[in-house]
Formats: sequence, structure tokens, C-alpha cells
Amino acid sequence: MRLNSFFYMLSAIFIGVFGSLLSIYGNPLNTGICISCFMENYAGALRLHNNIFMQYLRPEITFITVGSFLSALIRKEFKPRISPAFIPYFLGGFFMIIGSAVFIGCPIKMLLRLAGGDLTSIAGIVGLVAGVYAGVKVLQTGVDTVSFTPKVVSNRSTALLLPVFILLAGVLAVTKNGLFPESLSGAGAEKAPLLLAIIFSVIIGVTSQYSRFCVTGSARNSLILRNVIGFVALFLLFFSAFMVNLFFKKVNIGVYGQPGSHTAYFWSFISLFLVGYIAVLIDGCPFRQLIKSGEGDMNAQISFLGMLLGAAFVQNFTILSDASGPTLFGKIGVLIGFIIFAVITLEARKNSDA
Amino acid sequence: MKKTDYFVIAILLLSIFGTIYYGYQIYNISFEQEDPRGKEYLSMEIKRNQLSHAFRYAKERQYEETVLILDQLNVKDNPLGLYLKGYVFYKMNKKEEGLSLIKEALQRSNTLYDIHYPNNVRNELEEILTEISKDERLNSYRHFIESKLKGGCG
Repeated sequence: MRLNSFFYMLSAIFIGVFGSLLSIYGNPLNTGICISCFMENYAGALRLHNNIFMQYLRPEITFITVGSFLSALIRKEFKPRISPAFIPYFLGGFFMIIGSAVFIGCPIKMLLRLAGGDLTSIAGIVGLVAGVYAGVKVLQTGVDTVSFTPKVVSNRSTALLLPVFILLAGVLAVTKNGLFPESLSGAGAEKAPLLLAIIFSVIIGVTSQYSRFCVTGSARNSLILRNVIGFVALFLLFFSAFMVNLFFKKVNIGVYGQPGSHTAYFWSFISLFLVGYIAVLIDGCPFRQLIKSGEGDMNAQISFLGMLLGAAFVQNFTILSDASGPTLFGKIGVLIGFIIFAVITLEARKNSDA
Repeated sequence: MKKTDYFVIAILLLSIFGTIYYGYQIYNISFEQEDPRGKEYLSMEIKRNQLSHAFRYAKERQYEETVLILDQLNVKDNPLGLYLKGYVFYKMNKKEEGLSLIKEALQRSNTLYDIHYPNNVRNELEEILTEISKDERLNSYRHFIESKLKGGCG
């Protein structure tokens, strides 16, 4: 086995183990690591929405990005890069959060939910893989990938802006000077000990930057290259989280009464279909966008801003599903995402033909 | 045109139809421009006033009398009445029946558990959550109420 494959699988195991442990030590159930949920907390802490139960500048967001940034600097892989198609990246970040909110969780939480025994997430898994497959097929049959592929540029200081802002905000939040509001009850108040969250997040950030781990990327590589490493890594993420949950007696297998889930399978399927499809086009799930932001990929940084705006929309327009299922705004949000990305695809197809 | 183009166009058309369908539903919802929350709270207070006798009996733990009053008032379309009936059933040890009414009430009105509404029922819901937390059969109600109280993921 090549060293990179080993690290790829190690990253998956770290995310599984630490994801479960963070949930056991205080983060919401089955939500040890969930980029979409944490983005909603993050947007709340930046006062982009006023749901007082969802405000916390999650150290996981900060230190996964910082871990990736440090790793990229040390390995001399911090390369400022950008492509002309930054609007699709912004919209991609936005609609990946909308899709994740309708499902209740990003692709990582999807696997963590399954590891907690939540069988409703299977509809999401099928949807995500189908979305990735559709995206791969569209890419294979000709899309103008040139405008989507970031090129290395020289403006290093611009690429540093977001990682520095994230680090600074994280430091200010840790010093607790009241600049960023923090929920006193609700999901935003459920948090793992700060030091634990920082250590785990930095490790995840460093290893994932090194290995380039990505949930949708794993599925994509397995589907395109017939490379089993991707699916093996996803299985390891699930399995390691499952074993930790089993050890702490946190596995509750079933469909009904699962935390942070609903039984609207159709909407779980299509919302993650959208996330999978977008992730293929913009090269990475919400987690991977964080990692790439730390590496100086300005498209991913634009995507990060899209995710932040999406998270604010999710809360301000009640897009987030609850235990009774998706909301009207959630459904319409996903459908608008499909319309926009169908148009972007057709446009990119036209450019490719030309 | 390639095969995948037809696929993308099909998704585009289906999404447009879906957006028009749900968009029409959203269009039919009336969004109050001025102080909607104030109006919601006022409306909830009016409902509370209508049910004041039932609330008094419930407070005195005369649950059967409370149910009699609520039945006479026909609270089918009143989320506060539905909630009270559910709460009383729950207290009479008809837990599942009570929780299902509470769930219906919470689905219909978020003012009931809005932290800014002075007469919100959050404390009662917290108590119920603590009581049912170890009963596996009532797990789905626990997570439903939790999701409403937490206001977010998890």
C-alpha cells in the first residue's frame, strides 16, 4: 500500500474516531463533526442570524482550517490559486449547506449518523452516491473544466486573508471577550471541551490536508478510477465511529426517534443528491472546502463564504429540517439549487462543445 | 445532444415544476410586515384567556375536569388547547396519547416554545424530556421535542 493511501485511510479513521468522541464529550448527538451544522453555529456567532440556540464560533471549523493551513505551509503546499468560475463555487458552497440542512447533516455527519445506528441516513447515502455518479457522468461526457480548475497565482496575501480571519476570530472567541455571542441552551450550547476540540480538529486538518481526504471525493474516485481505496476509507470512517459508539454504548439502531433526523426519505435522497452533484463540480464536499481554504485555494475560500451565507439563510428562512421532516422553504431551496446547477452544467457543456 | 444533456434537462424541468408548486404554496402564506411576533404573542394570549378555566383546573391537578372543559371547548384547531390536553393526558399517565397531542401542538405553533414569549411552555417540556429520557418507547417524542427546543442540528 502506498503511503498516501495509508494516510487517506488514517484520515478517515481519525474523523470517525474523533467525530464520535467529540459527540460523546459534549457536541450534539451524532454531530461530533458536521460542517453544515457548525457553519450554522459559526454564522450565528458572527451575528448573521438571530437563532439564539445556534450561536457558537465552533473551534472545529477554526482549527480544521488552521490545521490544514499549517500543514500546507510546512509541506510548502500553500499555493494561492483561483479559477474564473468563482460564482459556481460561491453558489456551490451555498447550496451544499442548503442540501445538508434539508437532510440534517453534511456528508461526514451522514456517516456519523449511520454509525450511531440511525438507519434513516441510508437514504442520504444512496442520494449522495447517486449525485456523485451523476456529476461524474456529466464531467466524463464533456464539461468546460478549464474554467473550473484553479490556476496558481502570485497574490499570496489575498489567499492568506481567510485563514488569518478564521484564526483571529477563533482566538478572540477562545479569549471569551463577548465579541461573539454563544448559545446558553440548545444545540449551540452543546460543546465538547475546548482543548479536546482544538487538538482533534488540528489533527484532522493536518492529516486531511496531507491525504486530501474528502467524502464525496472518495466516492468519485471509486466510481471513476474503480479505485477501492475511496470506498474502503468511507467504510473505515463509518466503522471506526461505530466501534467508538459501541464501546460507549451509544449505538441505537433504528429508524424512529433518532437524534437530528427525519423519515422523509425522498427529501433525504434528493438533498444529498444535490450535495454530491455540486461537490463533484466544485471538487469537494463542505469538509474538503475547509481544507482547501487552508491551502490557499481561493475558490474554496469563496465556497466557504457561500457556505457561511447558506448557513445564515438556513436559519433565517427556516430551511433546516426538524424531526417532523423538511420545511417548505427547505424543499424549495433544494429545487432552486437543482435549477441553478442544471443551468451551470448546460452552460459549461456549451463552452466545452465550443 | 448527449444522453447526459437529456438527464440534466429533465432534472431542470422537474425542478422548475417543483419550484412553481412549492413557490405557489409559499405565495399563499401571508407574511405579516409589521411586528408579526407581537401579533402571534397576542393571539396566543387570547387563546390562553379562552382556556383560563382549563388552565386553572390543570394547575390544581384536577385533570379529569380539565379534559371535560377542553372537550366542551373543542380545541381541535387551537394549538394551545391541544398542548394543554396533551399535557393533562401525559400527567394522567396516558403518556403516548398525551405526547402525540403535544407533538401536534408544537408542529402547529412555534410560539408555544418561543423563548421570547413570556408564557412559553419550555419549562414543562424540559420536565417531560427528563421524565421520558429513559423510556425507549418514547424515544421519537423525546427527539422531536429536543429538536424543537434546541432549534438546530443534533
